[in-house]
Amino acid sequence: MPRAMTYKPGSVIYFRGDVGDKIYVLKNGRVMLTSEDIETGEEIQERVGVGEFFGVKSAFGKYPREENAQVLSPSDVIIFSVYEFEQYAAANTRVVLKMLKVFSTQLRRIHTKVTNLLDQAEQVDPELGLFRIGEYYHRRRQYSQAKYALERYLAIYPNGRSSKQARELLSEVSSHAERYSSEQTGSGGHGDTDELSDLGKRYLKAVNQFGNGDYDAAFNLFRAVGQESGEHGEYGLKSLYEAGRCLHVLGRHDETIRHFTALLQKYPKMEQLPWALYFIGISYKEKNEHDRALSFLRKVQSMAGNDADLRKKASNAINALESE
Amino acid sequence: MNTNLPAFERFAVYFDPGQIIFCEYEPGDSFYLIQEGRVQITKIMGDLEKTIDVLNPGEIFGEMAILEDSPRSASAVSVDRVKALHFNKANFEILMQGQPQIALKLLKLFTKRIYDQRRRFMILTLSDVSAKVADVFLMLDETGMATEADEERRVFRVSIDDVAHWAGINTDRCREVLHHFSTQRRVILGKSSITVSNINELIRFVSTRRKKDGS
Repeated sequence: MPRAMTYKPGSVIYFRGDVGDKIYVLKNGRVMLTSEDIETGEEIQERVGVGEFFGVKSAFGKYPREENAQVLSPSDVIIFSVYEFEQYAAANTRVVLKMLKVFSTQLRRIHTKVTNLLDQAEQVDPELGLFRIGEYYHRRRQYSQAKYALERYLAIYPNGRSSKQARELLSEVSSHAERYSSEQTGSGGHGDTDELSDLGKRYLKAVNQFGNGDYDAAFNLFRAVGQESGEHGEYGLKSLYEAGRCLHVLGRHDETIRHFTALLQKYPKMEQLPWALYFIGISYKEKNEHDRALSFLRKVQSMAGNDADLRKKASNAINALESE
Repeated sequence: MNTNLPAFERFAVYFDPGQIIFCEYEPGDSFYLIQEGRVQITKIMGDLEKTIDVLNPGEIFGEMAILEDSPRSASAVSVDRVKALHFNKANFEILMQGQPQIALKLLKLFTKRIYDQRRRFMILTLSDVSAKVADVFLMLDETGMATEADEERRVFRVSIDDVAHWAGINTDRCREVLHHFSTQRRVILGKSSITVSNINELIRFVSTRRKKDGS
């Protein structure tokens, strides 16, 4: 039950920095909230109106209070626990909506301040940013995702700086995406593609582990999925290829070379062939076997086709080797 | 919370596993409440797609779009088959009036966002780059992000990129600072984690720098 409490003038309901889980509403009297402007350090004073809530944010998040709540004249205050407040709010939507407006104004203000402070380098122009996402998914052969990003790019920036390139990529990606989805429905039976297969789930999990930097775990899972699903499975080659990338990121150069070499011997027509050669090449580079590295990387260059990212990576590595 | 009411069905949208719900940098004016399945929030950094969060049924995402028409700050991708309620500025108030729990949920989320942004603001306004980097670890510690904590030692599963992002500096600069910290034995740089040797020492360090800025 919320409880009522009477405060004397001069008393303090809570101090800045206190951690508390109570929410207050002023029934009558005068309460002043004093906080510090995070930008200027200046003192900000704000009177609590009768019927207004205070201490909400800090109680919700169990964060330290951001202000002192000081009583100016005899005041009656009702004190809620977070749970009691939630019960109350469920029946008083108007109160929540009002708070939501106040909070969203505060959030918008602080959000703008933070954005303005960010280093220019951190702020990517959204047009370029969106296009790059399309490129990224294209590179990773995640065609349906690439398709989404590129279509959105072209819808929003039909005459954008990268629109020509986006159209080219999109037409390439669309054909792949279609093939992929027809393969999926083909194997999954009549429209029954809701449930991702077990291998698919594990593949996705490994992708996540990789994304989170847990390369050892990702390697083990990719390898297992790759071995279990075999060359015809949807995830087979992809997983084995990714397992190789894990080895590379882990700096296990000999194993990277062995892994990709074995893969290429077994599947000489694999789609990721140029990339596999690239990883072999840079592993030799890391091992300081320059001649071998160069011969692989040059081959990559000649096979990179319109994969601009791969071409650039290969030529950077070659330049580095040649300047040594 | 029962949002499986017929009244909400008209807001329901469905996504296949792996499908993009929205994409980083795309303008957005709507947000979602997950009803079934999981949603991954990801950001592409350099040549890696990083998972920032995995959200479960009952959770809200994309809510910043309600505030302003700024581009999405991350992508949302379905992990399983996802059913979500889709709201925009226009149907937002109707929804809130009918479902105070959703409003309350949003209120809590805003609380957290305000706190996070204020904290980030404090990091960014430090004038000393080392202090910025150090303060990122304090923030992570305050928000319970340490995966291991004993006495003064803290382990965080973050990369140099992550730290650079939070500190608002570029990765190379951040790497320099962290390497310097590492030679001072303040941090140990692991493959997929960064260990702070003494969190209290970092607290003192940041607080000294902050005072200097203020004077």
